[in-house]
Amino acid sequence: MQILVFNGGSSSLSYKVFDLQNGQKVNLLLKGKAYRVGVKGTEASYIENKWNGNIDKEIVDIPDHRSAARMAADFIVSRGIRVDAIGHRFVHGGDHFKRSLIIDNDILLKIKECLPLAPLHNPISYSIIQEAMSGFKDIPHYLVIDSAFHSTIEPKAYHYPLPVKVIERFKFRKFGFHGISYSYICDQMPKLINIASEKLNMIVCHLGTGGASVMAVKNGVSVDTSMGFSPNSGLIMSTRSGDIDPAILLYLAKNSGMGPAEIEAILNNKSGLQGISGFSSDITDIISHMNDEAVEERAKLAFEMYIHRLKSYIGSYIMILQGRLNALVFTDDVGVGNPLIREKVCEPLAWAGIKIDKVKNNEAKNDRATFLQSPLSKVDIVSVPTDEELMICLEGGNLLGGKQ
Amino acid sequence: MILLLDSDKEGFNYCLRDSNKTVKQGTEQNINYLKGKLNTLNKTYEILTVGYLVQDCGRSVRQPVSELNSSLLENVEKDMRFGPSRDLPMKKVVNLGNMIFGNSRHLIFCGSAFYLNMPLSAIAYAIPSEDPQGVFMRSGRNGIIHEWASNKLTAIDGSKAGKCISIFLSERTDVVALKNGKPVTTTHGFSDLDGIMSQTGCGSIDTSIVLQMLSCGYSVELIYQVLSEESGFKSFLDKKLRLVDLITSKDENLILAKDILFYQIIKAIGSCCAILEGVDSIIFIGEDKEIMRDWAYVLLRQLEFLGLKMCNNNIDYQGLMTAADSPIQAHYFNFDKWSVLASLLKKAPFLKKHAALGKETNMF
Repeated sequence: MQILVFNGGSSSLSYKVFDLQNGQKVNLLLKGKAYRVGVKGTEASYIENKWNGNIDKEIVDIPDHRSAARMAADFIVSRGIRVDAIGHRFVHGGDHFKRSLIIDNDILLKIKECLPLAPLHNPISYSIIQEAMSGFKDIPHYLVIDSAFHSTIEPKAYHYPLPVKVIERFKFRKFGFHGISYSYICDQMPKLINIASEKLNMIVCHLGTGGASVMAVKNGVSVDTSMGFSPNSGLIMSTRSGDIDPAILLYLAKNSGMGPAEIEAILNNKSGLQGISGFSSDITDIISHMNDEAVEERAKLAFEMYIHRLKSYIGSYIMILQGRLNALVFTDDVGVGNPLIREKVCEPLAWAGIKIDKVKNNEAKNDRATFLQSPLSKVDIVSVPTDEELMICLEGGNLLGGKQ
Repeated sequence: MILLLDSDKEGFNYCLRDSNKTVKQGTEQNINYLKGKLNTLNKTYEILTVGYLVQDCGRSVRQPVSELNSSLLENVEKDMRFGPSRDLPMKKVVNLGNMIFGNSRHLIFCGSAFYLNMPLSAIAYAIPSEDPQGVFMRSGRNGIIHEWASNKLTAIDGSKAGKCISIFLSERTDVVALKNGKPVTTTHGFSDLDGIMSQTGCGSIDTSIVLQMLSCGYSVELIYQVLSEESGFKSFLDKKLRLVDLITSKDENLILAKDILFYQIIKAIGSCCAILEGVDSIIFIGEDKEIMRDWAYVLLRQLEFLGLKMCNNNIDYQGLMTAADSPIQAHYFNFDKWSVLASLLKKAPFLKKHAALGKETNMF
């Protein structure tokens, strides 16, 4: 069975075609990624396909994710690659979706109902699903839910101390996201550091070009994560604010004349690194402008705030794990691709036995797992490229096994 | 004599002090009762100074204690408009105090002045702003208390004051990281809603919660009421509880509330450790009650992995909770708000100047 996986991030679209045999053996046939989808910044958007030893890169305007999905589908079809099923990442299933499922008309309606739960992500997934279903009409499409992974979080970490009637009406609780990526890391780390999964304690920083979060793992399962009811809370992200005082929203609603949709647009699309720096939502872009006189001050502030928030979360998770930490993991594009961020985050954590080797850190490649700790470190520091698409493919094998 | 005033969720609090001792103190449920009480005190005692504790003065007041004059008051009021929770009841108290004690000196004790020089990366929120030092920033709370505790620690053992985490255990607990006595990060936010859950406040929550409620037709006022008056400890039992009551309660409905509070404090201590790059000392500030000290011990046990050596004996007269040779020391300081405020008056240089001139001034 050949499975095409679409994985829409807030500013990217990854896609891979796998040949899955017997539900277990996987060969990657093609992979590609559209970068800076819908991003305003100083660099251009582009799409890159890696196939049969060739790399095909095209700098092109990619206004939205539906366009990116169409470009990917065109490339796949043009190379004569057969697709038997398509798997889609879906960020926030709320109470509707708690496990993976095959998409039919009823599910499509429920997906539409879920769009407001993650306004930056769910509509993206929906647009990709629409594009894929119109291009590949006669094959099964399925959803893999990002929020399902954190179901192991205890009430003390997921419960919001709000009145019962409010909790019951809105089903407010911490869901947590990036679950598919975390699932991959939890699968890989025991093999990498030679420890039984059920004994594994670690902190994983999923730092993407769009979204970012941190997770604490105790005895192999998620016990806390920085994102909450929605993917807007927690770390400072490219255009998302992360944690802010709820009174700020009330102040804006009362005094600015803005409605909830406008406030939501500010918090999701104009805040985070973009809001602080005023010129870019891309952390790499911001770092490269930290010595640019025109924007130096704002660029440095954006970087410092990004690091401050990330350090705070890691510190809080070290504390809840009572220092019993096997590994600190960095993953996703920024996590594996940005040594400066890893260095600035790890440097102040020597008190917790975390010591980074600057040379290893600077030389780490972003396409393979790399150990970054110094010999004096009590904790492994590992840069691990994530593979959400592989997890989505395998999930498809489980889901569709009997149908093919 | 000095009259000290403040307000909290219990009502309007007053304390009349003479030299180093309290002559009278109490709480009135509403401003009219307070007015009656203050009139009685005015007739009975010669009150030369009236002090108001205002937790959040925005950026107008830069000292922990300042002479209150009309322009300062105007600036404080301007800053108050930025948050629905910002000490609005204190505005009424200040007006009342001015009316009744027109010939006294009026002072403002400011809880947020302590935090004015915190690093911008620790106080700014990641939302668009023309001015990164604009309106929406963490203001900090209980600065007077944390500064008092830090000074007390320095007096006991200055070598342990370099990297200090100060935890004020109360109905509105907050945690502050102090580097050489100066705050570098705090759990308290732009308003009282942010941070650790409180007696009736939700603490840090996902902002999408507010947006969902707005989208479903809840008014701003109703949401504020829900988040600030019906949440926190109260959401578990629909009853206003003091911290000590929460800790000692055997009610099953409060087990989760205790777990959450404990968990949030531990996480906040971890955040502070990361920002300070380690810790030399931990201070708990709380009521002079054995149960509170015991609870602080339970919290401290969670931190033993940092290298703390716990003390098997009772807390000593200086509040030391750890062994004398512990590389990280922990203290429990009994706290009396009024004594701390009164102690500040002795240090305020402008008051000494006034005393030398032998005059009292009506500032209004």
